[in-house]
Amino acid sequence: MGIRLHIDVMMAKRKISAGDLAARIGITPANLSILKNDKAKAIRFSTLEALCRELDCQPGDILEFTDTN
Amino acid sequence: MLWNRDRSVILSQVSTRIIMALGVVLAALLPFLCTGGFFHGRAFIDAQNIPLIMPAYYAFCVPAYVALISLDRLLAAVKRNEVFTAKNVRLLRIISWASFAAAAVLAISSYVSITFFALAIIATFFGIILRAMKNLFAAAVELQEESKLTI
Repeated sequence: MGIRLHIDVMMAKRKISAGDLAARIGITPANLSILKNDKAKAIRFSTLEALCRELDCQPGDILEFTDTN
Repeated sequence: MLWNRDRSVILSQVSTRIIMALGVVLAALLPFLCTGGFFHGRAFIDAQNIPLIMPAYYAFCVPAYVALISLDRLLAAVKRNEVFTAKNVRLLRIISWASFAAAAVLAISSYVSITFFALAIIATFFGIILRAMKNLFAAAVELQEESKLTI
């Protein structure tokens, strides 16, 4: 897919574990893993909002568009 | 007695298995029915065509049993709450193609009796409906997958 997520990069910068982040944003570690591994088909605004709040960043910091065509 | 989805699925599965059993019984009895004069003057079948009923029925049994076994497996999956899955889409596709194959066998067998031609039309219609259902299931599987991967 053309949209890539860089949650792991932000997690490393903020020194936060996957389990901790998952608990803070209210999703399961399995779902966070789906997001981290670019397996997700879509992301809810509420999840993105929680991610940005907990990682103290902007959506552009964790989302990247790459032209695959 | 409360009627619920589980009981409805069990009823469908039992009906499928009864039809499978009746098909086997009919296959076993057919030689006796053909020679015993059962078909004389029935179902628009000419007397000289009666021996041809057996090969027509046995040929029809192949796609029919493929469809019935697939239907039984589909109902077993529904009973396990596995409804919109790729496996069920495949089973519906098999049933649909089996219906078309049964329609072809019946159309070829229509030289025995014109009744078979009417049944061939019904089987074709049934196959088309199942094909549409298979397309719906495939779309539902895709939607479910997308919804599952929306975080």
